[in-house]
Formats: sequence, structure tokens, C-alpha cells
Amino acid sequence: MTNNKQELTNQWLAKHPFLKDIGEMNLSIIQILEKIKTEPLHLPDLDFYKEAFGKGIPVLQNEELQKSLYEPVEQVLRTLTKVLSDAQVPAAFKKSCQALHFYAENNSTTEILGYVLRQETNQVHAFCKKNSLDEKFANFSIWLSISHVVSQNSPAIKLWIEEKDWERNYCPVCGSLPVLAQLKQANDGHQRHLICGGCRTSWTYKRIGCAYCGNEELNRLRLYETAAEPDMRIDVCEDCHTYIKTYIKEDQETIYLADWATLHLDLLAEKEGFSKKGSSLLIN
Amino acid sequence: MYINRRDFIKTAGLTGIGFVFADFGFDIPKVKAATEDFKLTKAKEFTSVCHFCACGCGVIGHVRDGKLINLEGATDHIVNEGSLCSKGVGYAAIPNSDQRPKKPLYRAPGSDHWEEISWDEAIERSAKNLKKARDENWTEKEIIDGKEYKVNRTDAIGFIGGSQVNNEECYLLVKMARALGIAFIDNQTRVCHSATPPALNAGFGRGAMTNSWTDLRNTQLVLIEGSNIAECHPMGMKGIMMAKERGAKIIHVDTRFTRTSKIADLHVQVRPGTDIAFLGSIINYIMENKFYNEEFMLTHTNAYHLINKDFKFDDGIFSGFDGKSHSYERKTWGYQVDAAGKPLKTTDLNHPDSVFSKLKEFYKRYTFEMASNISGAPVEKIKEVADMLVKYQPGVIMYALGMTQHTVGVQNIRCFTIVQLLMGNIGRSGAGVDAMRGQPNVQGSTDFGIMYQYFPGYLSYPTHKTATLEEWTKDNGTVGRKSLVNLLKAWLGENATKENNFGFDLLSKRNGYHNDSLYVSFEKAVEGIVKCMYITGQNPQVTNANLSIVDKGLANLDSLIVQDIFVTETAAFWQRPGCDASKIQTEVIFLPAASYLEREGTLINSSRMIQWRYAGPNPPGDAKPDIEICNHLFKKVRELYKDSIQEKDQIIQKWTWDYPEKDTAETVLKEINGYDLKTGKLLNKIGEMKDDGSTSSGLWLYAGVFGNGINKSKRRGGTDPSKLGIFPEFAYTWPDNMRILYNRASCDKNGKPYDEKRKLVWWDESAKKWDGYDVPDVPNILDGPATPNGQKPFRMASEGVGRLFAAEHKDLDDTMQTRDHSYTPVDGPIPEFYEPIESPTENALHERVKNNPCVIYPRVPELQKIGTKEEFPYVLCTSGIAEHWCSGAVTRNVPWLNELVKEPFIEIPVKLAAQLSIKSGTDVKVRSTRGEIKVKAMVTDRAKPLMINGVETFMVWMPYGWGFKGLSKGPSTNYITIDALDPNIQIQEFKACLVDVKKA
Repeated sequence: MTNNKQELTNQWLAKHPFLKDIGEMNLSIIQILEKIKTEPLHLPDLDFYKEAFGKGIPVLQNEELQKSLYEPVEQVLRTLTKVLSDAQVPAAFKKSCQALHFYAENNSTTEILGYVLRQETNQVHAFCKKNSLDEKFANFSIWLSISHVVSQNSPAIKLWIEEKDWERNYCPVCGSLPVLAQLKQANDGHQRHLICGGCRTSWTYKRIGCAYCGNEELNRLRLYETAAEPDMRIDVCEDCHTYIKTYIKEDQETIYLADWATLHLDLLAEKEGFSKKGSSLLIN
Repeated sequence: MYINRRDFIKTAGLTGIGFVFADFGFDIPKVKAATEDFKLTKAKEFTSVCHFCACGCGVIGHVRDGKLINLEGATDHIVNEGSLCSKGVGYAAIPNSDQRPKKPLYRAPGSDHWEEISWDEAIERSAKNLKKARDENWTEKEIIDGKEYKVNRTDAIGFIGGSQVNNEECYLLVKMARALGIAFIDNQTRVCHSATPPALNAGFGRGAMTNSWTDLRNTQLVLIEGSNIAECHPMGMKGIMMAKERGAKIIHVDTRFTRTSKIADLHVQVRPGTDIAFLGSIINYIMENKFYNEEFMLTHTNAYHLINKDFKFDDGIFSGFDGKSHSYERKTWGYQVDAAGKPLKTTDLNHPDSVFSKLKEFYKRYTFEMASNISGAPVEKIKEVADMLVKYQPGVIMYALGMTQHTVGVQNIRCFTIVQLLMGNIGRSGAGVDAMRGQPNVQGSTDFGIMYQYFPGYLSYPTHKTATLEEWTKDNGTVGRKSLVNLLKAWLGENATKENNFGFDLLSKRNGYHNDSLYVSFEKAVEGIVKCMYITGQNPQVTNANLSIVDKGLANLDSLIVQDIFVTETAAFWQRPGCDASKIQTEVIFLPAASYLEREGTLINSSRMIQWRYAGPNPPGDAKPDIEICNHLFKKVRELYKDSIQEKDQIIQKWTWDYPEKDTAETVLKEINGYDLKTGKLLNKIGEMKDDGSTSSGLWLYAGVFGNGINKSKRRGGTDPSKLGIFPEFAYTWPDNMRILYNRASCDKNGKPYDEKRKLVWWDESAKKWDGYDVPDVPNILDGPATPNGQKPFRMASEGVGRLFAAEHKDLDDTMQTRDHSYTPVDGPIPEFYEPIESPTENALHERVKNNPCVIYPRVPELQKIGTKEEFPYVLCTSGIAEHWCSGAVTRNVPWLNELVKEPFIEIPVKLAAQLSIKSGTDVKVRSTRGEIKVKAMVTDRAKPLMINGVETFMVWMPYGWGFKGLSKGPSTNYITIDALDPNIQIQEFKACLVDVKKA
């Protein structure tokens, strides 16, 4: 982890001591992942996939590409769960981690990786039940592993998603829903970027409107703001009763685009009766 | 009872993500406890559309506690892509401005101050003033040409405004005005772009910008003439710059070197008012050298039609002229026709009677040398423009007020239609004639017919000559009748029946000889005929030419009602410097309106794109949206008339007017869209309208905007399968969501696109229908190229083709009834050059006829003098600037815009300044025969002296948007400008008058 990242996180935790245990767990994850290097993915020829992509099929839904993902993701998952199993984390979390690590060390994870990648939630559920795995933790750690592999191959994958007409509310890379949003300066306004709750890819999306149900009727969309966190707001939709946290500035992405860092805003939004979507921790 | 860990967490009130973390063993209750004191504030973001020029830029506002806290460009908007000009950004200051009036105001006759009054009182006083003026000055019958006509009209009320309010407000304003029987109905389009609809209509059949802002990227050549787009339509530059990056060439023809010239490949300076000479020489060059697109002319224009053998043009005058009335009898301007009334055509382009030959012969006189003598542009530069027009295809022509504000405004623009029809540059992507409208909803105020001569939808308003529905139909055609019947069903509901001519007889009838423009309304106020004026979102005390007449007119009214967001110079005319308020008996009522950010509704940009504006912050104090004010005002008027048994008041009693207090704008938009009255469903497209009274539509062009019950003006879809900037799912365009008008002309006679790279529509032989990225502009998508309907690329012109020669023509149906009637300018079927009314030289083409012979000026000799070059040797041209807009009522209340440009000034050429010993910053007096003002000089080399007919001639330039109100005050330039009017449309000659300049 770079010093700057570490410093920012420490500063944040100093201001938000109530997030300490979650923050430390996330720091551990970052440190673990930073040490894992994977081989470059063998990406299929972009031209063959353009048409499907144009029709809204995300990159990682390409069958060939999925096959090439299994090995590096499995490698990351094994290391991640191993190190986390020994880390200073709450007992329940550790237990779930150890169970998955044990499974991954002794079995091929291809089957569950496929289910998660294809977002076949029923199969994920059945698989975890059958193998006594914590479904939420499995989901969470597998997506962490996928996002790490994707991030190591981001220049190549980026070529695939340089498609201006991707106006969809799901990730162009993996197909997951967004978990966060960010407004970035563009001309005299701000462009909205959604951050994938699965592989952490960021993509541009229409500036106004619910990121989940597509509601564009502005009289049924609202914002919640709090002076305590002026750089992050909560965009809520009164049609589908969901919310998305939106970082309205730039430069502090390390903090604000780490979902855990503003968990307290999630609690406030949920208290108002709105539901979170897109998190790999949630079984949506 | 056993409580497991999960149940325990749930009892802590945790759900969702909090529950998950807690379930993993993290201390979430601690997080929850720590944030108990965090207070959430409700806020909202809203989208709207900018208030200034008609680019229609998207903005996003952020509102907290009812206050605007941020305004920014909408990045996903197809026109501005997040950018805003200085004015657009500056509007953020308006909702929180301490200059905004918060309560209705009243100024008693003779008083020197305002008094705050309640809304009830303001509405009641306004309604009673309108009623009084109407009742005491009602003309039931009028004898015209010795014959008595029932006209049911009042000439005592002037009704002005609409271009700065939303479509729904425009609709209610005109609906109210027509119910009251008012003749003097007008808005800022008269002053800005009124020349555009008739000119484009005469050439193409519709009166609007042909292509879109987002289509500019596809062009190879942009000719900008009579516009400083970089300052006046800054976001329009986006498309131009995109095209330039792709290799397009830019030509700028204007009276000065401006910020627009700076990005051009070629800038040509011309003398104000000489565009027809300049363009005429280019038309001549194209025809003489056969550079025209012959295939396009054959397929899509009237080039091969035969003109009436009696048509003549001699020494500046067309056949049929009556010097006494300054008008033409247009019979000889028609075609040779067969027994069915259809135009005869030749197969020989050079047939002596063909349109082509007539045009060629006509423009022979326009050599480059002649054009140079008249305009001052060097011959080689004119030729360079012509060569570029020929070389780079497709090419688009863009223009603004530099072309419209002349006594030949309509004919100026007609030249563009001819050039583009000759070159095959219409209906295609990257081509067209783009009229850059200058006010946020001036396209809407024109669409809704807030002009004395129109109903909504460009249907002629009846005069004594068309006083029955039968006569009206005979003149305008059955196509127009259908739209009119639908309008009358919207206005009169069940009171419009086939038996009572759908209520047509209840309507007022204009005197066909009257000029009922806003200019004449002030002259009639001076005369004591107009007694009351109702002015909404317009500031004629700054924006009208020859302002002394406005001063006198307002001072002579019984009552004046002004509805605006600031107390304008018009509302406060009795407070102007040097005015003795005690001598002015006009009662003034000021109705404080909500700004655009504070109210909802639609407006339409230059590209005919109808967009929804959401309401953001609360209006200050008691200010109200215009739609609410109009609604309450007419309800009060109806209440005052409810017990009347007079025939003249029936129309008010029978008028449909039952709008709710909430969601008023959407209710009105639905009425505008129209209904199938049998099923109660909203119409989905124009084609669903019937002519039998079973459907209604407040504006036929907008039918479909609420199709399937979906408010399509709210759409923000950014997909563009064409990659040509069509964006079919972004908002809604008229007609029927078509983005590029006349797109049938982008295909050959078989329906095959001329330009595969930029194809818009095509005939799909296998599916047997027209298809495309855009909505095909054809009468029926199933009627293929082999049918007559498949060969009508300009289907709204009665001939179905583009009109190089704007012939007088009515298309007859099988029963010999008029089906449709094309528009012909009153001053000629072909544009001819005439000097401005105040000109420094003679007409080099025909000395005997110097000015447009159809212009009547002066109309009021004692108030309208004509200056001579001996006393006033310099040509004055006026226009807007990037930092201030129109009358400045809004922008002069934005502090940072005032910091950018704080006062009016005069731009003087270096050489002239040296002759007059003037330097930048020197105070100078600028004087015309109408008045004198004092401003600072700005000496530049941007308008060089020109050699005109052998004489060195200077032009000076001034911005016009200042007055005595607002945070920045300054003299109004329009005290010196001339109010001579184009005879077609009554637009004033802002761009050319004569002045003298002296050191103060």
C-alpha cells in the first residue's frame, strides 16, 4: 500500500474511530492483494465480441474470457483467504474465511467462480449451502479476487469498454450493479461515474436518474446531505426505495470509493427506509 | 426465549449492510450510536434548460431548503455536454438576487412610487383593466372597402410577450388573448427572427431551422453570415468546432471581425444591409458556371416548373406593383398550370419560362464587381466564398439577426434557401439552413402564434377577407383546415361543432389592411387607440427601435400590466431619468414572476427540440410562475363576464379553461398534444388528427410529445445508432420527433441515400416502407418512390418540392378545392437587393428604386424622420455581446457579468477615430435623426472602412442592451435606431441606420 493511501485511511479512521475494526480489516485486504501478482489474461479478439458488447453483454460474460479468469482468480482467492484467516478480524468473519479457504485449498473453485461471475444467485446459494460456506463471505471474497485480477489487466479490458453508448446501469466489465457513484468535473458540469459493486470498474452513466430502476422523474428523486460528511451525499429514489452514495469531489477516492469508509451513511439511509444495492456483501 | 446472534442484531435496528457487517462480528451498533446526531438534510437536483439563446442547453441545479446552491451544465445533454457560456453560468445569481420583487406592485396614476399590493388585488385590477379596455373599445362590425364585416375585435389592448416563457405559458397567453378578441398580439420574435418563418417557409414549406445543433459535426463547410455565433450562441460553436476538427472549413461573413471570425478559415467583411447583393453574385456564379446539383434540382425542386408568361421584373420592380399601396398583385408570379391547376413542367432546364431560366436571367446583373461595389467586400474574397461553397459538400449555412433585422430581412434569408437548393444541400446531414433563434423560447412563441397574423402552428389568423371558415379554407387549404379544427376543439371543446363551423364565427377577425405588430401598437397608443397593454417577459422600453415612440405610447396608456422577474424599464417607464411622473396618468400593475429555474414546463430550442424544465428553488416571496398568473388572470376575467348576455362575451364564456392548480403545465401540455375525443387517449402523432371534430390538438405540430401518455419532453436518452448526432430518444422534436427536416431529399428519386456515410432515411424495398435513423419526412411511410407521395421531399410546400422561385401557388385537390397554399413573400418571388431605408449611397442596380418598394415608412411622419448621409455620414450596426443578453433585464442584474462588461460603448474604426480625434475611453455623442446618446468609445480595427460605389464608408457598432434599471445602468442605444419595417413581417432595420459621432 502506498504511504499516501495508508495515511489517508489512518486520518479517516482517526476522525471516524467507530469504523476502526472494519477499516483495519479492509487495510489488511489491500495489503494482501497488493502482494499478489497474476499473469496477464489472454483476452479474446475484441472485434469478435463487439457486437455482443454493443447489445449489452458485459466483457466478463464472454465464455472464453471466463475460462481464462478461473485460474488467476482461484490463485488470488486462496491467498486472500489464507492470510485473512490469520488476521486480526472478528471471529465470525474469520470463521467464514477459514471455511472458504479450506474448501479452496482442497477443491477446484471453478464451479462457484462461474456461478458468481454469471450472477447465478440461486446456484451460488445452493452451492454454499451444500458445501457449508457462508454465502455472503463467498460472494464478497470472490468478487474481491475478481476485481484484483481485473485491475491487473485494466489497460487491456479498458480497450473493450471504450464504447460511448454504454448507457446501462450495470457494469460493462462484469455486469454487476453499481455500489457507489462519483461526480467528476467535465466542462462546466459534472459527469456521473458509477462504481461497480463487483469488479470495481468505473463507468459513466446518465447524470440524473435512479441508478437502479432508471426512474428519471425528478420529483421522485431526492438527495440526503449531512454537514458531517459534506463530500458524500445519498441519492435516493422514491420509486424503488433504493439509494446510492455519491462522492461529489475528486482526489479522495481511496476513502470515498471504498464502500466501508462511509458505512455510517449507509446506516442513516437505511434508517430512512431506503435499501442498499450493488454490494457484493448483499444477496440481492 | 432463546435469542440467537442474528435476532440480537435485528433488535438493534440493523438492516441491510449494517446487518451483514454485524453478522460478521463487527461492532455496528457502535457505528450506529456514533452517528445518532448526524442530521440529514433533504435536497434535490433538477434539470432545466438555459434561459438565454435558443441553443437549449441543459443545466442541473442543486437545491437545499428551497434555495439554489449550485447551477452547472448538464454533462449528458446532447447540445452543451456540460458546458455553459458566461450568461448561462451567470443565471445562478438570479434566484437569490436581492433585486427580485417579492410582491405585486401598484403605481397609481400620477404617482412617483410603487406600492405593494396583494395578489388578489393585482389580479382583480389587471382583469378589470383588460375588461374595461375591451368593453369600451369593442368593434363588432367594420366597413372595409365599402363592405360591412363582422369582426368582433378590440384594438384597444396590446398583448406582448412569450419568447421568455414556457410553451404552456405561451399557449395560455395566446389562448387568453384570442378569447379577448385582441388584434395587437406580438412577442420578441417580431424584433428578432420574425423574418425566418416566412423566408424558410417560402423556400421549403416550413419555417424552422432545418438541421440540428448536433448535426453540425457532419458538415464539410460552415458558412456563418450575419451572426457572431461565438458570442451569441456559444454552445452552437461546439458542433462547428467538432466539424473543424474533422476537416471542415469555416467561412464568416459579417460586418465586423469578431470572436467568430477568429475561428474561421475565411472572414469577409460586408457593409450592413448588402447581403442580397453579396449572395446574389454567388447564386449568379453557381448558375453561370453550372456548379449546381442538376440531379437534385430535377428531383427535388421547382427548377423545371414553368412560370407565368406575364411575370416581369424591370428596374427594381416586379410585375403587379401598385405604388399607391406599396404592394403587389401576385397573380403573375404563379406557374403555367394545366386544367387541374397543376404546374406545367419542362424537361429542358433552359426553357425560357422555366424557373431556372428566370432565376438565371434575374441574377445575371449580380456580378462579383457589382456585389463588391455594393457590399465593399473585395471581388476575390467573394469568389473565394463561392468556390468554397461549391467545393466542400455537404455545407451548412447558419445565420442570426444580422440577416433578419432589415427591411429586406425575409429576402435575405430567401437567398440562403436558393443557394442550398441549387447545391442540393437541404434534407441532408451536414447541410441545411440553420436559423439560430436568439431567445430561449422564441421558437415556441412563434410556434404558438403569439403574433397578430397567426394561430398556433403557423395557420393564418382570419382577416375580413377570410372571415368565414369556408373563405379561410379556400385561401389556406384543407390541410390547414384540419389543424384549425383540432385547435378550435381544444379551445372550445364541446362548443365547437360541425354545425357552428367549430366556433370559427366566434373568433375575432383582423382588418387585413392593418399592420398589428408591436411597433404599430405603440404608435396606436400614442394616438390614443391602444389603452391597455399586458406585457410578459419582454422589455420593449429597451428592445424596440426608435424608443421615443415607446416612451410616448406607454405614457399615453390608461393601464399597463407587466409580468416579469425584475421590475424592468418597461414597468418603470415613468421613473426614467428626466421624466415627470406626476404628468403620467398610466396605472401600472407589476406581477412578479418566477424565474425559469423556479417553474416547470417545456420550451423548444432552435432545433425544434421540446425539453422539460423541472422546478427547482422556491420563487422569492410571493412571486409566481407565469402559468399560475395567467391561469388566475383569465379565471378572474371569466368571472367578471360570467353574467353577461352580450354576444361579444360568449366566446369568453364558451372558452375551455379549467386548469388545475397543481401540475398545471403537464395538463396544458396534454391539451397542446391533443386527444382522441372518442377514446380520451392522447394523440401519438400528427397523422392521428381528424378533420371532423373527433380529435383535438392545441398545436398540431406538437402532437406526439405526450404520445402513449408519456411526457417525451423529459427523455434524456443519449444513444445514437446513426453516429450522426440524431439522438432519437433525447427529448422530442416536431414534427413527429423528426430531427432533420426534408430528409427525403437526402435520397435520390428511388429512395437511395445520396451519401451512404451520412445516410438518414431510405426506402426499404423488401419491407416496402421508408426507414431510417431519423423519422422519414414523407407523407406516408408506406408510399414508396413510385407513388406521388414518394416524391414530395418538401411536402409542406403545396408543390411538394423546394421552391427556387417562390411562386404564388395553391395546390388543388380532386374537387378543385384548395388543398394547400404555398407562402410567397409580399415583396417578390426572387430576392432583389434594395438599400436600407437610411443608406450612405444610391442603389447601384436601379437608381430609381433605392429601397424596398413595399416598405411604408415613415408611418408616423412626425415621429419617424429619415436621416441623410450628409448630416449622418456613418452606418450604425447594433447587436448583442457574450456577457449581456437582449434588454439586459436579467444579465444586468448579475454582478459578475457587469464586471465583465459594465456599460454600453461604441466601437469605432481606427481611421475614423483618428479623423475625429477620438481614443478608446473618450466620451462621445452618437446622434441619429431620432435621438442622441452619450457613451464611451472603443477604437478597434475590427470594422475596416469599405469602398462603397467608389466612396470610403465607415461603419460603427454598438451593443443595445442597456437601460436605466438593474445593477448596471446605461443609455439605451435604441433611442437612435430606426423603426422602418420589413413589409412581410414588420421586423425593424436594426442593422443599418445613419448616425453622426462627435467627441462629447
